Amino acid sequence: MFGKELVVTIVRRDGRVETYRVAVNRDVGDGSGGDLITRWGFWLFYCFFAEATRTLNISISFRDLTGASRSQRCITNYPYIFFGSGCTDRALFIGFGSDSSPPSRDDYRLLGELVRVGASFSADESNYVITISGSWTPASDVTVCEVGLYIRVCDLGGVARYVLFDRSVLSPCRSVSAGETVVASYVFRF
Amino acid sequence: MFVIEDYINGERVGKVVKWSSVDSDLFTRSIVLLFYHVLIPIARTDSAVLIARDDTGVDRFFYIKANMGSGVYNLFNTYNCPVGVSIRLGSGSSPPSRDDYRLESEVYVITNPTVRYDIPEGFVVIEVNVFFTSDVTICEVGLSFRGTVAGATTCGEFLIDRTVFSPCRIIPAYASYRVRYRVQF
Repeated sequence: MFGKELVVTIVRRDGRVETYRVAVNRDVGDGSGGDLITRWGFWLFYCFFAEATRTLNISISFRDLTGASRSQRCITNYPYIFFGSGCTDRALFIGFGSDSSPPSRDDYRLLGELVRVGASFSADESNYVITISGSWTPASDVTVCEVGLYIRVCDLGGVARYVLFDRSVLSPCRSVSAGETVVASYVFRF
Repeated sequence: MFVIEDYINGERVGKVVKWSSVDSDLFTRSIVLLFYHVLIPIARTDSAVLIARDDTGVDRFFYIKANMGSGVYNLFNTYNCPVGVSIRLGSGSSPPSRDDYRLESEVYVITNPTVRYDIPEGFVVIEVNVFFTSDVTICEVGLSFRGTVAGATTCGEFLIDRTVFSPCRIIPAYASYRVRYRVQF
């Protein structure tokens, strides 16, 4: 099983919570969730998206073909690789924007970006769920029509770059008043 | 989607679906390219480079696998080890478990399968074509990943999928046998 879901929540000033689900892509194969490839799909995504402060190493554990237990780094203090933390804090960001143009796989930024906020990354190893969330409380009234997922990683020259991984459009757009909080959560299930 | 298909003399024998389809948007494109560069076999000291457009609109180059030298501990370090996938064939028929770490009864290993991708369709394919000089029974197929599994120089391999066919496949001598993994988002 693999699924991608974007959940947008708005906390209104009176305390009401509105939740919208967009870009839900979820389907189930033979119900074998939790099998070996499911586990590895989860761990590969974990390595793709794991956040690491500069120079931090992150390891994954597995058993090799000989049966030996191994622990090896997939995120490394090295500045010239996508999986490196040597050039920057390897980090995720959620963008909120006001443009409602349909998403394209050629998008490389939000088209009407209002803000880009640091995201939190969490991995639930028991249930094979990875969640990336970001929240924003605008100081003035705004209309949010698009949400994006950015990752900041090292290129082969050792320079930190921001790459857009997803752009999703809300339909209809959502009004967020000053002082209200909008939260976007990407949920990946395996 | 995660699908395993096998063919004898070009005719499909069966198909096992483990994940089902998702979409073909920006996320799909990004993930397909990442998976492709992770899975494609890369020789020792070589590199796999992903080209992606950054938020300023400029195409940038990212090492997914690279020769990082003798001091860098990383699964994708090609300093001393080739990094990529292999397809493994076997005759064991016990049910698959997520704790499997090898095939039950391995018959044949193909270390450099063809790996290709299709952005519009949103998939990565890992495929092998083999033939045997005598009749062979194939009941299980495995996908393994090899790389630097410890330190900066210890090469190794681990199983990332084991699929059991039911019924087992009887491959006649000299028949073409194709196994195709298709990872689709």
